[in-house]
Amino acid sequence: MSSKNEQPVGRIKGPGKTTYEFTFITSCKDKVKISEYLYYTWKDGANVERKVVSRVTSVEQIRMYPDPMLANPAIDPAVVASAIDYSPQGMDLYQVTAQVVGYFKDQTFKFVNPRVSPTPGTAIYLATKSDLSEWLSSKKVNDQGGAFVGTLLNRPDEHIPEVLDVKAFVSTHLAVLAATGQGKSYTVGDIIEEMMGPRNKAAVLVFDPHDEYGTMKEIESRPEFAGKGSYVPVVKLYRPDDIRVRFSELAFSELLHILQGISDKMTSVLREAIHTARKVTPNFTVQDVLNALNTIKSKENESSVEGVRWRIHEFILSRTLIDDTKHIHLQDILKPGQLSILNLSQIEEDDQQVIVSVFLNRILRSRINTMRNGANPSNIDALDYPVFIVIEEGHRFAPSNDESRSKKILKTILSEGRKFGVGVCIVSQRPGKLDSDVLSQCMTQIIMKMINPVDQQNIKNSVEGISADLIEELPGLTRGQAVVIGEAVNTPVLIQIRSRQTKHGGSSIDAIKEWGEKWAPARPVDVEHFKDDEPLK
Amino acid sequence: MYITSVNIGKIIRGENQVTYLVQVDNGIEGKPAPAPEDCAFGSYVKIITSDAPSRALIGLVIDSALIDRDSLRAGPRLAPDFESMNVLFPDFVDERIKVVRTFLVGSIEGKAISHDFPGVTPKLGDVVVKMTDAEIKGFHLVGGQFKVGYYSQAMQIHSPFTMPLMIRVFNRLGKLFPDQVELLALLRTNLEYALKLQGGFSR
Repeated sequence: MSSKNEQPVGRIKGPGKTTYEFTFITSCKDKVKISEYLYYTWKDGANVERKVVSRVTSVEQIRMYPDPMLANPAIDPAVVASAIDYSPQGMDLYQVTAQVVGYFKDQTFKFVNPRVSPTPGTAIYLATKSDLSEWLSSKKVNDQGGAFVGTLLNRPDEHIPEVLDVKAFVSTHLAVLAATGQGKSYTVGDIIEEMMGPRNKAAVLVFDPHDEYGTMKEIESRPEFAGKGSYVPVVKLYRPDDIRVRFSELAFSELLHILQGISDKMTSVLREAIHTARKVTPNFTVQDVLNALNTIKSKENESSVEGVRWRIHEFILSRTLIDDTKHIHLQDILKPGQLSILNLSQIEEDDQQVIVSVFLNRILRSRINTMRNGANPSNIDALDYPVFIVIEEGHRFAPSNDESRSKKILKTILSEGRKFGVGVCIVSQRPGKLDSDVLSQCMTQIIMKMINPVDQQNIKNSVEGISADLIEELPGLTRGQAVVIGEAVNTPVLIQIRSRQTKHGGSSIDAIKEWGEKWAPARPVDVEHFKDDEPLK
Repeated sequence: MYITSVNIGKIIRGENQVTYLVQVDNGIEGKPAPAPEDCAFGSYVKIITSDAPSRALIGLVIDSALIDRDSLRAGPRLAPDFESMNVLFPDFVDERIKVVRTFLVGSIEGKAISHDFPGVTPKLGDVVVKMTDAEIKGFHLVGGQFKVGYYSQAMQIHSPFTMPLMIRVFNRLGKLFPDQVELLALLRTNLEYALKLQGGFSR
């Protein structure tokens, strides 16, 4: 089955420490890199020869220069070896541990583990470009439902594409994790570009706390995103001042969520006040509810009324999100072929949580209602299609050791959103501070350079299928390199993230350049202000 | 090329493919005795094989022994000393000899230099000659490159003298090849560590 031109890179020595590992011996150090894909041939029960794919997890040198030959840094050990008449060519020998991925089943696009240890002495080959292109991604570049995010890191010259299965990560969620400055938002930008193209026409909403995604407005004008027909993606940017929810549009449960720590008695009083206000007009205002509270106030409920009144002042009137007239309808921000970016950059963190919480609640409720009751054409908050929501700085909205206003709804969406077509992409630079339930519910992960051991540990604990060797890879990755693992790929893979088509809006500030540009000669000190006899003011 | 002024002796016994005993000339048979340093421990010698005079087998002196065949025998040995013996018994042959053990480290045939075990063996009686410094330098320049290719083979000799022998060899070569001093020091230091620290403190 292996091509006659293919040369084996090693021979299998025997089983490894675990049942799905084996070791082999090689002298081809440069070909057998960590996370490289290899295969050996094996005949199944039906005598069909299969290519069993495996991935290199560790490389150990077992034959090398003796230590004393390395004693003098000024002398190349190869020169010493040559002097004692030994050619170092082929001297170094390596024992490689590889993890069996399985043989690829074309019908299912999945790997099947043969559950049989390979025979010692079996030749092992480097997977070819065509093999890898077939095995690693169930989707191909330019396929409908595919998102081309990068190329295989170990084969830079072969440009083997890694294409995520959009359907998989939209239904079972995505996490993009990396230390700061390693390319998280750049990568998310890549994914959004793929989703907004004519092949996918996705409905995407981005919560953007750092104003990093505004540059994606370019998508509207770039021809590569337009379809052959009339399709042109729409990008809507919402500035902080635009982000408003009309008070009368809030569901009662959302209102309770905003008015923190509300008691049962207060809930009852509030419900009555809203009922009273709504009877007068469906587009009631906050003041209408406050007036209604006055009318229903009695000696028995006075403290509850005052409690509700205080909370309305504290959590609604003192914030700008809830408005009496302005409103963003869900169909305004979520439509197939539209990317909406909510710029939260000048909004307090607590208010950001309220915004995320309110929108997520409304989206989930809308999807549940639409799926259960069918779409009502007159309801502009009805979402008759799946949606994908990107939440940057995910640890702010679902912190691990703290409660936040948005954590509960986020956990609900991550656990139940799949049934209702609400997909979430959590982006975080501190997975150690991200709620582990939230992280573990994201079934596809793109993980970039990560040095902090707490972050690594949380990834290890929460990410299904990540092996110790991949965790060990994380500190060694450079900017733009990533481990991709989970439902949207056929097997864990190390990739180089592809270049963005649109301008990246989240690049670091060039402090040296700006200092140089803004520098001006210092003004002379006005000594008149420092006279000794003048009293200090 | 291979006839030099100092003959060491002749082969009297082969112990294996690479180790030979050489009876050192003692001056009695009309051949001048070499100076002790000519066949000292670690000296380079060459064996001119009578079968192929253009070929020289190169060896290192790795051991020596003094033999007195008359020791403990009755007869002339009752004489008080050897000087008296020569006077009292003019036909007495002094059978006290010195032998040195040589270990073959390579060969030279024409311009071809090899640091491998020689495939051919010397014959009994083949002459063993001291190598000059120029010949030693020539033997260690293989294709113009400095080599001590017999190092690993020499280290395989199971003898307490192996490490001291190679330390001596590296010191000698260091004087002949000043540009290789660092490399030779690296090799020598490793042996000295093994000999003096590991050997000296392992028990």
